[in-house]
Parts: sequence; C-alpha cells; structure tokens
Amino acid sequence: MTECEVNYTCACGKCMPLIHLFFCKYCVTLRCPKCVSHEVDSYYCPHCLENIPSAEAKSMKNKCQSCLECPNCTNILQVRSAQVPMVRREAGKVKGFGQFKKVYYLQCSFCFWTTRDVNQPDKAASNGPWIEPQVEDTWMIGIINYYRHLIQKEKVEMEKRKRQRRGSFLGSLGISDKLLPFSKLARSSFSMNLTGSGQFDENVLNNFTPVEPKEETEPADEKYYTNPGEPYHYASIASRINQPSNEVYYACDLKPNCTHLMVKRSQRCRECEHNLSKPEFNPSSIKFKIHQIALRFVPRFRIVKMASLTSGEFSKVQFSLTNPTEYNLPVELLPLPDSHFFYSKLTTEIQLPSKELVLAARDDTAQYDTESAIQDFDDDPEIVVARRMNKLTFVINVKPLVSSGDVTMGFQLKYKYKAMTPSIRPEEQKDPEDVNVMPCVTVVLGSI
Amino acid sequence: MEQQDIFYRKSDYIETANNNKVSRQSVLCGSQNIVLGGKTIIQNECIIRGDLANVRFGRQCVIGSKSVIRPPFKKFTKGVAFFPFQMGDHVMVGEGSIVNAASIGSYVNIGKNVVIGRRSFIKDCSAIADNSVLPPETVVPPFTLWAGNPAKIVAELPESTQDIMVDLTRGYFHHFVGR
Amino acid sequence: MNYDSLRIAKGAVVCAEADLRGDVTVGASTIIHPKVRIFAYAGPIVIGDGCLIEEQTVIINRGDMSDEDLAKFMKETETRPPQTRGGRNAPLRSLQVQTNYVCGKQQGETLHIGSYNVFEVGTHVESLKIGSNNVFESKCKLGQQVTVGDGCVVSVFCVLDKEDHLDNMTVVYGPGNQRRKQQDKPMPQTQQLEFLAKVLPNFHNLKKSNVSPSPEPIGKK
Repeated sequence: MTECEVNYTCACGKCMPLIHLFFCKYCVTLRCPKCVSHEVDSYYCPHCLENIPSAEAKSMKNKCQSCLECPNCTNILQVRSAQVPMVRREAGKVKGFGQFKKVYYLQCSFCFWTTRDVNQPDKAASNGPWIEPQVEDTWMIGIINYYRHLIQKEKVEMEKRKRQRRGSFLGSLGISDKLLPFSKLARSSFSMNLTGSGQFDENVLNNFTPVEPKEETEPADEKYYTNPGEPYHYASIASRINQPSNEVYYACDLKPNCTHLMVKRSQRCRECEHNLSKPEFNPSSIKFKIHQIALRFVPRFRIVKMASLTSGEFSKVQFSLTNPTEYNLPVELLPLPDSHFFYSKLTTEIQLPSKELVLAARDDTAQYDTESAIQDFDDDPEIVVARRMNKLTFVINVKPLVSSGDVTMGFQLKYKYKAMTPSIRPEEQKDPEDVNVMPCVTVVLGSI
Repeated sequence: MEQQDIFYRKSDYIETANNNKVSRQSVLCGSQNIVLGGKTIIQNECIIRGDLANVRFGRQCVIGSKSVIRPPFKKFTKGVAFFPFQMGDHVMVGEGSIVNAASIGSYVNIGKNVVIGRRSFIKDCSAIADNSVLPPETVVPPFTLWAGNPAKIVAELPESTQDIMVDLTRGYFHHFVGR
Repeated sequence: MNYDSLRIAKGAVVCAEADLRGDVTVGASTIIHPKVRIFAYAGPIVIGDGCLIEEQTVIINRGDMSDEDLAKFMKETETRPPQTRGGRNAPLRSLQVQTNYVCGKQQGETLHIGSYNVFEVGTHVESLKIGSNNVFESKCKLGQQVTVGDGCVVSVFCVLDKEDHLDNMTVVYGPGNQRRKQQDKPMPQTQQLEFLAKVLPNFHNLKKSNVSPSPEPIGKK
C-alpha cells in the first residue's frame, strides 16, 4: 500500500508537499527549497548553541572547539569531576598521599568512553584544554597551497576568455562560478575569498607531485596474528573515518573529535532576488524576520476520508481546503492542464465541483470561542460536507480507471491573491491588486 | 491525510475546567505538583512523576499512552535534587516514550518508543524519530530531526514546523472524541 | 495475592503501587518505585541492599514459562489499577486482574540480584544471577540465560536473550549490542537513594517492612 500524499507543483516543476514550499509575494508563485538560493547567515554550535563569527568558523574548520564528540559513538562528551589524592614525592619516590584534589575528565554518557581510557591526563580545570593544538601536516599544506594556485590560474584564464568574448551574455557567467550553489551576489564574493589576491605561481603548479599509487601495501603488524585481543581494543572503521588525519589502529589512540558547526541560513528567490525566509540571529530562536512559507499563503488541500475505491466506479472521497488568509477566499478547481508532467500519470476520472467554493477567513481568535460563529455561505449540500472555522470539507467523485496500481488524481487550484505592490511613498500605495494564482495539485490516493 | 477521529470512553477520562483530558488509567504521582496548561491530553497508563519535582505542561500537548515523564536527577556540589520539568505548548509525545529531559520547548514532536536521557534540553520546533535513544545531557537545537541509537541529527525540519505542530495538536484535540 | 512470603528489610522503600508477588526478599535501603512488577513465579527472588528499581521495570523468575504465557501474564498484570485512595489516581472501576499464573507455588532456582544495582524505567529482567553495582538502562532486556558480574552497564534498548555472561565492568551499548570494558565502575547512587527514601513516603503508600536488616548483606553469596 503506497502512502497517500498531496503534492503541490513548484514553479520549477518539482512536486512537493505544501509544508516544504515557499511563496514568493513578488513573483506570486510557489518556490521549493531546490530552486531558491541558500545563503549562510551565521554559524552556530548545535551543542552549546553559541554563535560563531564566520571568520572564526573558517579558521576553526567549521568546528566548535569547546564541544567534543566521543570518538567511539560520536555522542557529545560530558565533563566529569573526580577526587584524587595528591601524591607526595620525595626524590622521585612516592612518599604517601596528601589532600584530595579535584580533577576533571571527559566521559561519553552513552558508551561510557572516557579520556582516561586513552590515558589522556586529567585536567585541573573543567574547561580543559581538552585538545592540543594540531600541527598542520606539511603534505596537507602543500595540497591546499596547490589548489589555491590552481583556482587562481583558472580565474586568470577565465578573465582572458571573457575579454575575448566581451559583450556575449555567456561571458558574464563564469564556468567555475556556475558550480557553486549560491546566488549571483554570493557567488562572486565566495570565489573572491577562496582566491585571495590575484597572484599565482606557475612553479608551485609544476612542482607539485601527486601521491603515487603503490603496488604492494605494507605488511600488517605481526601483533594482529599472534595477539588478536578483544574486538574493542581496535578502533572501528567508523571511528577511523571520523579521524582521517591521524591514522589510528588501536582504540587507545583515539582522540575526541570537535563538533561540526551548523548554519542558520536565509533563502532567496532566484528570479526576483527577494528574501523568502530569514531566521533571527539567535541560534535557539525559532522566529523569522521574513517567513514566506506557502502554508500561510496557499490554501492547503488535504484528504479527509477515503472511500473504498473500485475500478470503473465513482466513489465519494472527502477532501478539505484550509484558508490561510484573513479574508473569505473563493476557490475554483480546474482540471489539470495537459502540459503538466503528471497528466500522463493520472489514473482516475474526477468530477470537480463546478461552482466556486468559498473558504471562510482565518480567524486566530475563533479557537478561543466556545461557540463558533454561524457561517452563512450558499453551499451546495451535494458537495460541501462540513465547515469548521477556515476549513471546508467537500466531496469529489473519483473513478479509478485502472484495475490495480496507484490511484492518482490531479487538478489546478485557482484563487485570487491580494498582491500588495510595495511603494516607498505611502501616498502612492495602491489598493491591493487581485492576481490569479493557479498552483497545480497532484494527489496519490493509495493503490488498489 | 488529516487526523482521523479517535474515540475514547467518556468514563475513562477526567475533563478539567480548562479542557485537559486525563485518563483515569494514568498514574499522576504527586498531582499537586503537576500543572497542565489547558487542552492537554494525557492518555492511559502514562506515569507522571510530580512527586520527584514540579512538572509543568503547556497548552495543547498530547502525552501518548504508556509514556513516562520523570524529572531528571542531578547531583550538585552541595546536595542532590530532581530538576523541575517543563514542557512548552503544542508538544506530542508518542506511545511508550520515556522522557527524562530537563526541558522540552514548544512545537516538539517526540515519536513512539523514544528514550530521552537525563537532563536533555529539547529546544522549540524539533523532532525525535520513533525508537530513538537520546543520550543524557543532549542539546537538541531548533529545526533538527534526531534519529538512531544513539540519536544524531539526520535532517533539518522545514521552516513551517511551528504551523505544522500547531495544526497537528489542534487537530488531534479536536478529533479526540469521547462517547 | 500472596504477601506472606514478601520480606522487606528495614530502611527499604517499596511503594504500594508496585506489584510484588510470591517469595520476594528486598534488601535494606532499596527503593522500589510505583508500577514496578516483581514476580517470583517459578522460584524466590532475592534483591540486595541499595538497589534502585524505577517504574515499569519487570523482574520475573520465569522458570519454564513459555514466551506466549509470559506475554499473556505481562498483559494481564499490566492494567492492574493503582491502589492509592482518593485523589486522581483512584480507579472508578475496580479491575481485579485474573491470572492463572500463581506466583510462589513452585520451588525453582532462586533469582539473585546483588547490591547497589540501578534498574531504570522499563527494564525487563529474567536473569538469575546479577552481581553488584550494575546499571540497567531504560528498556533493556536480560534473558534467563544471562549472568551479570559487577560494575556492568547495559545500555538503552539492548536485548541479551542468548546464553551469555557479562564480565565485570562490561558496557553493552548501541543497536548491535557492542561491548567495551570500562575502567571505573558506575557511581553508586547513594545520594539519590537517600533523597528518594525521604521524598517518596510523602507521596505514596508504602508496603511495610517486616525484616530487620540482616548482619550479612542479602544477595551476596
């Protein structure tokens, strides 16, 4: 049995549930997360929920230095304290124990791995330092350096080509820029950052020697055959992949990993370059400065009650439409245009309501009323089943045309969106203009 | 698919003045320390440990059957205590889940058979998938979906999470009908 | 219900809402939360000192009870209404669970649980021999064929149902029941036990203790 699903068609042609979509007020169309440009607003650590400036994030390789992960199970390590007696020594020899001293170590609360397991000494302070500053591998520096020069070289070559084809439209878009998943604006600044100054050294590029593949690998340590030990003495493949920089064989050589940072991002329409979503700066905030989710602009179509579907017979399936706007909204249901890609996949004949359906306005205070206001709409009792606040439940007759397989239907919603034309001067502010919005809706009703 | 009607026997539930529905088959220990925000449903065989510390639920929460809500234990340098537990509005807790968190924000969806470790902080607009294990002292940031054993971030949630959760909990309350 | 053979040492706190049946011995300063089920069905159960047994835990001396019977038995005892009077907890309909499985009739092997063990919410224990200072995390399950040493941790959701022995200081964790050895044994929860012993009597009816603490700790062989 396939899941029932209702998808809306985005302007780019992708079908997605309404909850994932955005609505661009300026283009008056749906936009999906795949066809908007994503921009990094800020970096934050998912554990300590602290903002990290982008420059710092870059230098820290997008990792939080204060939150560490267990190398064994990647859970966050917790600081634990313990009391240990101070050892009195005289001339290198232990001469009994003195007062108790508080020491700190890290422990995983899931698999109980501790820094003591790998003989990392206990610390006197709860904030560490838990990781030693790593010395960058010269080999790695060489590679980074090589790529930096390579990018520079490509850029110079591109500039040359651009100059040759001056005036042509294609020249304004760089090839390497195209590969970067950012908006036009961000793209150029991104490649600028990577390349830095506009110099490159041909010598670096020529002298670079790639790693030679070896015919034979080094023979395994004799210990593996003679003293197999317990499985947990060896680092698992997952733990080793998490620490590519230090090649670890034994679990006792594992070190805590730093937590990866996460980003808060805003999303922007690619056509009109207006923001569709911009979160607040604070990582633990769920508020948005700009929040144009489709749920707040487009009537939501849902399946309420399925009927048992039989091939070649009409059955009444109940659906609902929810009005997100604060005014009564007349909605028309039209057949799916045959240009739509889903048209060939339709397996039903449907009888859409011939009349306009009027959805009641959304009223946030209505839920606090014990008695709902009486709504007076001239409804056709054949079609409209129920009304509750801004939701209308109605019937569509569905006749499956196939004897087995997925039952699918589709239609086009048509309603008027009151578009506000933004104006700088308030006296020029025009009255809201009605614009027709016609999103296509495709529905899978399960299989028979 | 919209929420379908769920029927319960009216005699099995107590309805309070501000529309909370509490199953008679649930165990509310230390009920004087338990605050329900209104329109909150507590289903059968839930255990809520108000005897250990104060437990406060927001509005329109749904606590699934057989789940356990217990304030977490914490050792301090001086003495010990159970942390008071707080839950925001519009939170769903699935069947058979064990919640040991210090706080749960608003618009949070916790699946079925989930174990939430001691003193976890679950922020607003987040979700935990069914059968997950959240280790002790985990911080769940907003708009993340956690799953697995141990649970990790597996996906980001859409920007519309708040609207979805409000709709979900309201729909559940509306369709939770006594007869 | 047979409470005759229930022995609770002084200082132990056993909530009345916990369901203990058959020949069960509870050691001193052990805390048993409400909604715990301890069934000495096929033989006696001896629980040592300072154990912490949280709600929804099941400890059963199962003997040769089949899986189907066990499931039936668990279902029948699950819906037993809480026994507190007054307040919200009191059930309207007084359900008395009918079960065909009478605990404490057979004289099978004894189920021994050592001291200072923690059974977190929803553990299921059938294991006949458990040492001391172990932690059994939420919803883990120990079969009859498992024996547990000292200082072990069985993590959330881990199911050990084959013949097995956990050496001292073993940690079982993760979806694949991975194992490792830990260096320090889990901290004893003495402070939590003391706190609960103070707080729980204010909110719950308790089962009366009827045995003064034995000179030798119970549960150690």
